[in-house]
Amino acid sequence: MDYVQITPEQRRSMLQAIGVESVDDLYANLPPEARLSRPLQLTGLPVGPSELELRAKLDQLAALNRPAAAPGAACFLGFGAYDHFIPAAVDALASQGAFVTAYTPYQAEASQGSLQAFFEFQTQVCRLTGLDVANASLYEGATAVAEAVLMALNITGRRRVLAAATLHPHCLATLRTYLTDLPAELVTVPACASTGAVDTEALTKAVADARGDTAAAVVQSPNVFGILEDWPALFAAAKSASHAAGHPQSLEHPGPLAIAVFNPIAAALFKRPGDCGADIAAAEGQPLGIPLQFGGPYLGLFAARAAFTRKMPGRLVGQTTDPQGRRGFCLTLQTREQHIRGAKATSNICTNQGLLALRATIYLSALGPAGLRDVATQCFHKAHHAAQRIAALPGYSLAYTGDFFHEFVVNCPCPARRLIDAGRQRSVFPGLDCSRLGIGSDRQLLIAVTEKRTQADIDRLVTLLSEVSPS
Amino acid sequence: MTAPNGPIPLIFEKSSPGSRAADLPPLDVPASPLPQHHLAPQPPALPEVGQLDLVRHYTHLAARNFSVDANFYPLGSCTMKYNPRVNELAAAHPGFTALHPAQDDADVQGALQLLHDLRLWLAEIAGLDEVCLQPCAGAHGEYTALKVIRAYFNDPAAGNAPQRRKVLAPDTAHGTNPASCTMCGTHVIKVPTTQGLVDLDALRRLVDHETAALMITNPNTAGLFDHTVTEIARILHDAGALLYLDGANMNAIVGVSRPGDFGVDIMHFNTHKTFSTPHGCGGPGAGPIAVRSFLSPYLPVPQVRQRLTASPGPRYYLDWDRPKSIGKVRSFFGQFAVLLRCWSYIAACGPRGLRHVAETAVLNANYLAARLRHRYDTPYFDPAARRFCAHEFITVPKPLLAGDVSLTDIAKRLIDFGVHPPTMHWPVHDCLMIEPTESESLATLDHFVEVMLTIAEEALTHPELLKHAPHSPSLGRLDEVAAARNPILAAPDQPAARVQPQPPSLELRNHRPAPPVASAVHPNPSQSAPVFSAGKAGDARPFAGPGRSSR
Ligand SMILES: Cc1ncc(COP(=O)(O)O)c(C=O)c1O
Repeated sequence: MDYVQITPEQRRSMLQAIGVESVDDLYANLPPEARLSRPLQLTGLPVGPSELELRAKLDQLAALNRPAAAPGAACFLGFGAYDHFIPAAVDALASQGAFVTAYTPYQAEASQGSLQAFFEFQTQVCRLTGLDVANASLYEGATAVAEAVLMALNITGRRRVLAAATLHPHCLATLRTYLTDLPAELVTVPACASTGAVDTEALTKAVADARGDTAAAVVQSPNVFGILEDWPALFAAAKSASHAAGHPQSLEHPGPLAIAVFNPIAAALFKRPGDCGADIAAAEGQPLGIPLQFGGPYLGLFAARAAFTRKMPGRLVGQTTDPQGRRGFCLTLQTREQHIRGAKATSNICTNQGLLALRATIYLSALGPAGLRDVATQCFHKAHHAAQRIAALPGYSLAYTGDFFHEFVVNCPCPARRLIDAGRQRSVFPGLDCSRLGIGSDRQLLIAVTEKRTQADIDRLVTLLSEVSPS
Repeated sequence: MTAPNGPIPLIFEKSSPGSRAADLPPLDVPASPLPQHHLAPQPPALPEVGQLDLVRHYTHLAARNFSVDANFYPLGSCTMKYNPRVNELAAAHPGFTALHPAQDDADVQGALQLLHDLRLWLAEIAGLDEVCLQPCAGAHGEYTALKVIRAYFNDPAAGNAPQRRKVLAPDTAHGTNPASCTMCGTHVIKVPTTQGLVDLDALRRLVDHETAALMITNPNTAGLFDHTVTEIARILHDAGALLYLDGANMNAIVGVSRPGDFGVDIMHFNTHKTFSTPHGCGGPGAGPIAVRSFLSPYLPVPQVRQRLTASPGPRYYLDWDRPKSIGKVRSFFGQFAVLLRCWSYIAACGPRGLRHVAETAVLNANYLAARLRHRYDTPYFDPAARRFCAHEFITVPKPLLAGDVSLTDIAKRLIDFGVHPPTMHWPVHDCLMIEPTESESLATLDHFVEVMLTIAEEALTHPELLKHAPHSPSLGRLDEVAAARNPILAAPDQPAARVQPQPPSLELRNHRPAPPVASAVHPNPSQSAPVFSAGKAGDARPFAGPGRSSR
């Protein structure tokens, strides 16, 4: 089924209207050596793919998976992708054809639905971050952080980027890729081995070492271990260390910029980036009503102080009026963007994550302030309950002492691998092997607990850990 | 119930304290003490609405959108083809949606097999050797590819030409091409085009030992297949540089012609154009890249691979051990649910279907061009001279623009007829770029022709009809200049209900009262963010001044 509606008969009459004999004539410009003279060879393609057969094949492939977040499974996997509850209304409303099959809202009058939804999204992200301006989405968390850093380099004209070693490793690796080949230097600031949080003194020293060349300090909280970082202290330290080194901050010389990498669920409970001195905030928006779906598509959240609006990457929706003074919305400040500015654009992003931003908007509107705080609070209490019970098991302990949100690292009496394998028969996904993630040893598990996990799920996890023998 | 006429209040303006559209079961574990010094005094000011009002709000908003599902959408270069329903069903399968990206390879064999199939299929479609599925969209594919090219030339054991930092692109290139170069720290140099095609003499002059690559789009952005492409490839290869293809226009040639066969070394696909994954009001898409084998060591980690049956471990796995890789360009490994739709589309079409799609896309575009050219000049399309277009064409309707009718007027008038306006002013000023895609029926194409001819007539006889279009009951033409001059990028912090609504004007009598826009039209300078006045406050400018280039 190729979904083409033109019949062979119509094709003939259309060719006639054009004045050619065959479609081949329309490819007159194709040099012979550029023509494919055989059918494409698509290996392993299901034969005779009617919709019925296609669906059977998809079912077969799906059946080869063991989804961690399937009903009945107890999923304690996190590491930047979390199994949260998604109200049915999110799927129902975001899957309307009028949203799914619309293009970027360049033609405002034909796109008021998307535009108003994105205006609501931008407002919600402002309120989640405590910052002034949010864009209409970036690709996902790691690239959003990279864009924040590029923006800071651009604004400050400085070169050094100080990134907490406790950033998600994919985020750190992406940042590294984005900074190679640019006049920039990435320096990681180590964490304290006991708290699991970035060391303020280490950051202060790194800023001093940079001698006024620090463009940005990037700190994620909760960090990759789940630990809450002390944003106010760290950002203040970065700025005052720069000041002390004789590089005071002003509008003309704004560096170093504080970049907060946040979790949008945690933002309902804990101090927001903007309340902690952040100039830019970036995040993975997956927790806001987006399924795990094997890593993507997710959602890049991005917000900044108003002063930096014209240096922001990505689309912005603004409010305006029609000739009768009625409110409407349109894309705005487009002179920042690639389709107007080309090589001088603030970013190359064009296609973004519109439909995921819409999901997040509906999710946040469905939960409201009390609901989102409830989600965050339940995550917190369930994670702490699980952590206490696990830490009480012989041979187990928490790896770090810092305050955490809904994710934590435990030291295990046996290889984490063995626990993961043993969980498989019981449909318990007890966490991730820290050595495999590059954030610890092979006897450490990274465990995430969301509001979806029940007391019974936590019992299953604790039972699994207690029963797998340490030998 | 249909959506109300007139503006729809913001979800924040429908908020009533204490309302909720979703709930959770009560906490079933003992509570632990919260870390006081981290706590926020109150939760963020999100809207509070009941479930029915939530559903109605986003149903009403949906009714304010044009979409492929409801409208002809001939947006050039965007390939607004039909998005098959079965693909949505596939992507919503719990066997895929509930997969966590850090699960063991053994738990995700179905997903990996699917990605592995797709990797091979796209390599075959490209006529190239290796594919990376990770990039998030076309622009991200360009970026990733440019990093790969750079890594190859920086590798003393391979390209060994670190001085190759210049990238060439035709002056008709999409904005993402030069913007991606800048993000990679490469200089981009414009190559002039004549008659819509790359100027070969200029290209020869510009290519040198510092050139890394030329980025071309073929069929190009003027809707033409550049028949000199093999010569272009020769010029680059002779100079030791590479040929990059922006694959945005692959819909014209899938199964008919393979980029690898016409000299391309590296390219990106836009699955949301060529392979029917929906555009979703702007995204998500996916931008897989295909490369010749000498570039594959530099592709991002991880790559999906298949194990030889004799070796231990699961059959499909993610290969993270790639020492020459440029590293990571995103979290995890791709827009999986988009790639899944892409798989489903390619599988449904099969080799013959894909070719039929490309041929029909080209047929439909040429048919429209042939029927419209007498009223809408087509600079590059002339069947008498055997000059045809690919899957799209541009028209520069000069005679219609002779009076005070603008291109925008024509575009906005199309909205009144239920047609989404084509792409405008690109690749040349005052042009419409029309791409019907293969999806449309002959009846729809003919209807579009009638509408376009009607509008052409109106432009000459009733220009005021165009100037004031669209004539929708809910909203007239929006003032985009005002939006940029005085940016209002978020709803005010104060619940807008407290602002006195403007009294409805005479024209609005039969509609809902105008929403409270007073504060937005005249933003109160004393009001703190998020409603701010960039122009007045003056604080949005310091970093945009001259003298500071954008990275
Ligand atoms: C010719 C061309 N190149 C590149 C792009 C960028 O692709 P994307 O929007 O997927 O980033 C587009 C589409 O918008 C395009 O039309």
